[in-house]
Amino acid sequence: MVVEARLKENRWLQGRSRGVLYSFFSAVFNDEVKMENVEEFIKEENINHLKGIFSLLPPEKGEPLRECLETMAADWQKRCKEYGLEEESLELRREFAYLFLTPKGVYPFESVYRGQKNLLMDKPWEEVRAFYRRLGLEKEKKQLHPEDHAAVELGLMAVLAFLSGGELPGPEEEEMAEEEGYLALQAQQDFLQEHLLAWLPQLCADIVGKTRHPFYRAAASLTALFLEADRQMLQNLTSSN
Amino acid sequence: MAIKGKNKGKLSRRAFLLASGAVVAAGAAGNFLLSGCQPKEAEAPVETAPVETPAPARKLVSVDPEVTATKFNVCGVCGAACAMIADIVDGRVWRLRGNPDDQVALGHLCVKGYTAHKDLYCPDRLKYPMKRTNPQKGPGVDPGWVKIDWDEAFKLTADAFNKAIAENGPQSIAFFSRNHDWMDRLRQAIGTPNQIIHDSTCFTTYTAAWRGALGLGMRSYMMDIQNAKYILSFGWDIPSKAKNNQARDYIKAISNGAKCVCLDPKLTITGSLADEWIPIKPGTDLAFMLAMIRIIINEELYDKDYVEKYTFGLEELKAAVQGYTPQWAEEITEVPAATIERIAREFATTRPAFVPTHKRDAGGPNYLNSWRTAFCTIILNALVGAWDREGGQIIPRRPSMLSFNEVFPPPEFPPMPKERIDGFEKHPVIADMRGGDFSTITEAILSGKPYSLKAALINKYNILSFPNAPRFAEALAKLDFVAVVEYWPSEMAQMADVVFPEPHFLEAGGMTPRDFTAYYPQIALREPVHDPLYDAKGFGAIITGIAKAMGLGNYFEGVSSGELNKARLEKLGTSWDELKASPNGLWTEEKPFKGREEWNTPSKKIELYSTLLKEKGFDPLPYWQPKKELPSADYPFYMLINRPPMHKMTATQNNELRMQLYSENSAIIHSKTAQKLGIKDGDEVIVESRVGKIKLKAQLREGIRPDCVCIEHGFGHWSKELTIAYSQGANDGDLIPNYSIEESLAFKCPGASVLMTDFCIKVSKA
Repeated sequence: MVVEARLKENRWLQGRSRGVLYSFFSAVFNDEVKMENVEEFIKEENINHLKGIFSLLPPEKGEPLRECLETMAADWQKRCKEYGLEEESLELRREFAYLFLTPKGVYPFESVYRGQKNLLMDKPWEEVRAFYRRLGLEKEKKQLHPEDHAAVELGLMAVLAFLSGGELPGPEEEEMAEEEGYLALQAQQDFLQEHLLAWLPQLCADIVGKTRHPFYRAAASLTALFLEADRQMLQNLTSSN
Repeated sequence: MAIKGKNKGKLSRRAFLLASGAVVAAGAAGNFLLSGCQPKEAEAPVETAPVETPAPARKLVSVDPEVTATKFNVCGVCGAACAMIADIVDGRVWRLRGNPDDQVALGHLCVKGYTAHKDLYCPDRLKYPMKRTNPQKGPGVDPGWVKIDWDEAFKLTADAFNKAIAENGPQSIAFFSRNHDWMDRLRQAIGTPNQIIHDSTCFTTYTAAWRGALGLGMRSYMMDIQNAKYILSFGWDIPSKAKNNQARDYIKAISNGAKCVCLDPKLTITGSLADEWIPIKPGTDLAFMLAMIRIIINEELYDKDYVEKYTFGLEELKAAVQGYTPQWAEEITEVPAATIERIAREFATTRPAFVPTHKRDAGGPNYLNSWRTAFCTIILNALVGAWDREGGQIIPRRPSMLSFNEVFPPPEFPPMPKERIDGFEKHPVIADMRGGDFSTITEAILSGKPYSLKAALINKYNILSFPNAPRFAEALAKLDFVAVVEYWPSEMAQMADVVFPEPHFLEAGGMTPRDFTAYYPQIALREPVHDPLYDAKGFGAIITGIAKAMGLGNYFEGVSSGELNKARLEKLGTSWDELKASPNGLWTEEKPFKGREEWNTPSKKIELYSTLLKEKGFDPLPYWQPKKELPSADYPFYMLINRPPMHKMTATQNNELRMQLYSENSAIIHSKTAQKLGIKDGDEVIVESRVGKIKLKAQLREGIRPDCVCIEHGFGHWSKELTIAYSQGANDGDLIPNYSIEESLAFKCPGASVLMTDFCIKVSKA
């Protein structure tokens, strides 16, 4: 198998950044945000790096992402300064419970959004699990979220992005590593198309509509914008072959 | 692009295992494992689409997918506890069905059981322990939940309990819960007498009568109704509750030609299937029964052999009922004397005849005279020899189980004050059953008398179930600390300082012995049907966690449900392994049925004249007593409460399937009454009692007395977190007056009746 140098370079370059973004999104949906993780995420160096990635996109896609990211960082710093870390941390914890643990917020499950019955473990859950199985992946027992929880789905994308970006050591033989990287890239494209884009934008819109906190508004907006942009990024990466 | 190798299309294990360490803000990215091998054929996803085999015309096409596993469990919706089998398709519960070898289920469930997996998968469930951050409490107030871990939840509860003990004594803590061994041990370890149970809203009038006449501590719900030939129902309406076994047996009985007469102010399913429906005046069943007893005794129509051998006090009873002529009863009941006479004779001369009873029927704690009515049901069944005989009321044959304390002997408990917060210990006939009073608790908390209650642990009770529910919510808000153990984000959960999420019964394992529904000893296996969907713990584990955090862990050393089950099964000559290996998920000790010869009363007989009631200061015979409140100019209608078959109290409404079948309650009014009031079917109406008013839709029917209004229980949920049940219908409990301890004692009811429908109401168009 031959892989063009440009593709390899792009994949490596974008894999890490995409992995960081997906990890961040996954963390936002997974549990209460850790203040230090957000601080890490909005560090100037990281923001600049991400803005560099967004600049590879057509302006109509890249600009809103850049703006959203900058707004999130600015709001965060402003609120932490205004309310103090402790109070802001409590506000964020309240908002997490409101949004993700009570029905006043949202149900972050693909099964609820794409299924017919407003229940967990509906047909979409089966499809997501089948997708993981095809890749040879399964959810760890200690993870209580079902396979179609937003955090788990975004977490999958993070793992795959890091794999395709060479961030994670793969098989020693170069050919096998290449194969795996390409496989991970293809899997991201399929998963994004078949699953994430089929429901997460709506979930994010619901969060934007319901949240009382600017961080979650920004994080949800950023997630939705990035998913749409990533469709194109992945297309570019795979079509370069 | 071709991928070669045996792991074609899959990612390598090594590649992933490093993933979690490399991910910034890892989130769920670290939650995947590579299986590392080619999935076996059987692991491939199972196709669940309908089988597309051409079917002959007029035959149903099978839509059954291939079941990949079956598990045994026991329905947790109601106390009948039907053993069930869960059919699982690729990790998901596809169908629940009754265990055919279980004596209760006999292969069937009711609508509530069949739809229980929708509760399991409902995204509204409580998911993690949470604490309140908003100090304000009340309906509509956002608790400001914050997720906490279990240790913090235990510590918060323990600190609040220890503070209450230090400042106000152990009695300032109450446990609102059905009986539970772990909870009871912690209660005793703390030294509080306050366990508050719903019993006095449900059946304690029967308990008092059963204790008085039969010497049985608790009543049973086992009936051989299927073999009865004459069924006389005084408001007994279990077919309307879809209680699987009894509903099924009632249908069997009437299909086999049994005659059924149903006395009830409203036409129920039982009544609609009966040969006769008699819309008796509410709260007057006692008069009807007294007149029947008089006729049966005076005309010597009773089962002479049975009465002579197994009963005590016939002569005293005979003397006591002589004034209760059919004509006297006609005036009270509005049932013609001739009808009373005919039914008395039919009942006494058709064998087996039987008066079935359950909870909130005429003898339930509805009226001031209900305990006397309950007493009369015992007498009528005794006169026709229906006690523990074919076609009658059966005393359960439970498996002989070791008690919790026998398996885990407790360290010495601290001394405990006798006086309870709700005054329940002042009811001498039933004081020892721990019981509890949902009616008196409210004013006790609000008034601080007999003492201050500061903290409570509440296990799965709902505010809507309390008489004068809004007033109870006020009382709850007055407590310093409330911990709630729940499955749903219920109204009670909304009032909590800490919520502990419990698993759904399909996520839990263990075993369920047949209790008050056992023809013969039987134990049903409960296997976890589904992996836990959220971070929940069982009630026993929650109690143990609180105890340890309180410094009372020594009361729970070595205590576990596994060890308890093991010891109990060994005592029965079997084992957990044997039960687990059982092909039908049951341990059964079938014995031929042999009717009871002796009763637990001082005379060893069924006491038609109760020496116990006499000794405790109550009438030893069921003399006439009217109900407490009668219609007036202000409140011209009798209040009736019923429950629809698709629901169990307030616990089952947040389920789309059940709500498709019955989505909201209404004020059921006779069409002629409604016409006079200018109310049309579907109009919104205000129903008002002297303690509250509710708004709901009117439903006009012919099958109800014109002087009554009936409201189905279980609706009017105000927790917005119950997204399906929220704001559907209204809560009948908002209309029910609550009473102080003094008022309750003045009723002189040995069964601590809370008079659930002994009040009148008015209705107007909204």
